[in-house]
Amino acid sequence: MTLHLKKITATLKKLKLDGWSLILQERESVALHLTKGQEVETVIAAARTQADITIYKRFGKHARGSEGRQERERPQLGDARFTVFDDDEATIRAKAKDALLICASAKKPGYPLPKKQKYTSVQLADPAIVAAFKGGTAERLLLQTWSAIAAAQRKERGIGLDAAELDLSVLRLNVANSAGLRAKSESTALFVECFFSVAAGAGKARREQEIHAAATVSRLADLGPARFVRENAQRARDALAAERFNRVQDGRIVLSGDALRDFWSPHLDVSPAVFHASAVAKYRKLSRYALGKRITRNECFTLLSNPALPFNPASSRFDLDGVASQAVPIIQEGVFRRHVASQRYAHYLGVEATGALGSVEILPGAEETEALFGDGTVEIVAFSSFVPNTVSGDFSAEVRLAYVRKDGTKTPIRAAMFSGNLFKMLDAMRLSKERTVTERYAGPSHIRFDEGATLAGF
Amino acid sequence: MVSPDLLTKKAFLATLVPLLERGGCVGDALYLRTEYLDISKDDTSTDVARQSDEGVKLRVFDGQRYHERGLSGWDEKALRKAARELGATRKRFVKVTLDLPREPLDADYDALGKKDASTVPLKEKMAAINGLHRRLRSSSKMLVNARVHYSEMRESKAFVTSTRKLSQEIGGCLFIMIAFVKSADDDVRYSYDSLFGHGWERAAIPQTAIRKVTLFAERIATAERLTPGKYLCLLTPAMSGLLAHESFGHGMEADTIYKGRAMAAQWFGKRIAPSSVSIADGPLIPGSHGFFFFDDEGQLATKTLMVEKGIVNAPLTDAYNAATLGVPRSSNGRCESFDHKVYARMTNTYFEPGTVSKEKLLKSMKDGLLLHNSSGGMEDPKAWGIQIQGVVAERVTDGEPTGKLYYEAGMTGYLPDVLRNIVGVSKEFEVPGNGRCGKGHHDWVRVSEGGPWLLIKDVVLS
Repeated sequence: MTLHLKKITATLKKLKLDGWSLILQERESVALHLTKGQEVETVIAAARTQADITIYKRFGKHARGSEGRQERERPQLGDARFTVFDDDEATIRAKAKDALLICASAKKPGYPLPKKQKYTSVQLADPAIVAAFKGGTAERLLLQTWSAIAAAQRKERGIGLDAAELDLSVLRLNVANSAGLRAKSESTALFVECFFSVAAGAGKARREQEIHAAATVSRLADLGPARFVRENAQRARDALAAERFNRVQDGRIVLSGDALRDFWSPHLDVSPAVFHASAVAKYRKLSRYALGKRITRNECFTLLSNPALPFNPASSRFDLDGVASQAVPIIQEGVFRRHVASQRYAHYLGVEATGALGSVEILPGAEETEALFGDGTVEIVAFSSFVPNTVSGDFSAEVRLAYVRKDGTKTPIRAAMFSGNLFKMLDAMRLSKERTVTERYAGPSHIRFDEGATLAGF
Repeated sequence: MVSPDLLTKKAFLATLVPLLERGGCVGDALYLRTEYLDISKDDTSTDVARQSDEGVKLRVFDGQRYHERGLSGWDEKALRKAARELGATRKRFVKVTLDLPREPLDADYDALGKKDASTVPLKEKMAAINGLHRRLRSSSKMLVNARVHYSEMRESKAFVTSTRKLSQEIGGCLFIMIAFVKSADDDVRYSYDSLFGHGWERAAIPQTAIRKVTLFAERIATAERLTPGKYLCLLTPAMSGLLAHESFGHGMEADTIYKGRAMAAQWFGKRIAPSSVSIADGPLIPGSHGFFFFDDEGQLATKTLMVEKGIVNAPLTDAYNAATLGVPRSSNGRCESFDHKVYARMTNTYFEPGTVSKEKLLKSMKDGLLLHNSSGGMEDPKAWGIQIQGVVAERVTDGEPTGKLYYEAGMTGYLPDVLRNIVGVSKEFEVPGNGRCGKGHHDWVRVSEGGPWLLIKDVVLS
């Protein structure tokens, strides 16, 4: 189904609303699901086109509040959002009428819609993927990518591939509003998820180990099938050989690889370090940060939100209000410097709107990576899942794979729980000079924590 | 009653099936529409949003694999074109024979509660949310903020094959209450609870449920971290459900088993727990968050006993993986939306109740922990490791909860060890979970989990 931006905006203009904004989303995707024996189980080709429309209604100075009491004497704004899957005028009119009723129940202090603005030219789309969707060859491209992964896996001795999923997509976003803002972007993504396995022994002594390997890239060339398979195959072998971690250790813990990425940029939510910088958390009295306040004694700690890393899945040109995304130095040398803010909450706090969040970027330190290690240091490279308490900063996460350093050797370990509080870990944090860039994270390749975190074996 | 519009759509989908099957393949069509109304209120603002998702999934199975098209919205011309294109797929293989229902069935179902929420005026809903927020806020002086979130859902589905013509409409009213407090060292912490029902009657929330949230928040303000170790634990229904779902249920999903990714494959017919322990999954618990009448492949809802009296019994299946494993179909074929794959997924997952009272289990504890709730968990089907995080635990001494809380503990261990260590199963039973479950970190579906109170020895907590 096709939705035309011009037709929708023409309808919205006819409605003579106090304000409106819309996000027109067009996503095309092809997905490949492989089952046992690397047989194809399902091929899905899908197209999603929808417009999410928000309408705004201004209320006078003495408008009554939703609970019937007199509100403060300042302009109020009601807003309501709805979704349409076609651009039929009658449908939009009916939904807008309903939304106007909702506006009266959702009054809030007024704020202006963002105006027309300039956007960065950050690269988000792989021309090869875009061309494949245009030319009807996306499925073939995905099969070629799969073939490269399967070929690399066959070269890895003793490594099985139990299942895999690949999803290739192109997303076109158009944002517009009644203040004249127009923004558009095109981005691409390849998601690959593989379950590699390895086994040793026979009969009752047989042991198996599986490693979940996943990557999202904006550009095909960034996947590197051979490297992706090789690194994860080694992780699977190490996990199989891992010894139980039979003690409790405070500090002397280094994070690297996926573990470091997930620590600063968890899958399901933002890091506590970023949550407390958000204008909405401040407005709701949930933030522990204050502008100019020292967050940590560690003067080496500088953290940014960076949405401008080229071909990074966390990058963007604008947020869903159409506000240009920009790099935000959140914490500089241990001091909180700037909020990340949507248009609405930026206005409430009197700060600048910053657009969409990007990758968490941490400035590297001055130490050689090897200087972070010593006898008894544990390097965690992967968690089973890292889901911190966004508000308190507390966490407990099972370690999927880690290594203990002793006498110059690295021994893989398992069966350990990493727990602590992010904010209590910052003071005694040591950053490597070496830098890495992955999806959602850019910064030191290794970070050592000596306070506020415990590794407990079980 | 199912809406006339849904019945019209079902009738149209039925005209697509011959187009899908003209190449000799098996075809089906699924229409999904979910409408949401979300109202959030805290001390600073009120937000209201309506959102919806709508689309059609068309599939043909060629004897080895599914070929699918997903189209958003409802466009009959585009659907016919897609059905014709997919219908050109030839049946080429005889590798997998799907066990599909042959008896014709044309049926329509609804679960919209005693009072269909869509008939309640917005003003009445706003008044209820504002009132609930006021009650939550005033039930404790320690709160720095209080948030009430109301999520209303109306899920409409129609599924057709050459023999089945089904439709269902399911309503949902979910109330979430969150109380924020400050700890002694100025950290913000919170406690929350959620209540679900199919209809607006769920809006009648008793004061005890509200006070439970704020009382917990007050205690969490002074909670400490737990010393890692092994503990005798009494799990509430919320926690026993999480154990059933995250630690066990994911490993019983047939696709995971067929792919050789689940340790469960080695355990069928073997004892994994005492005979007092049975673990089930099934959508047909009225008023539960995982409720439905048929799954996304038209399989009518049934209960599956995954563990029966301590013995590993049956997996949860979708059509493809039931066929590949050669086991009966269960009603677990589910997809997030029209552009996502149908997988074997859980619905309501729970331990079956036992015969002992929870008071008796509590009184039997000289020193241990009462595990109240947690923020979630992660599956590990291959190794059957337990990974549950954000556990809130309360010290129990001489059979009495002391009020002393521990915050953000992690529960780990090897699942068969934990199941073997179950020493008590209460007769009290509830399925309170109101969450969404992902396959890994994607493909989210609504689920619930619960069960009795479980007494387990040697639980590893950190």
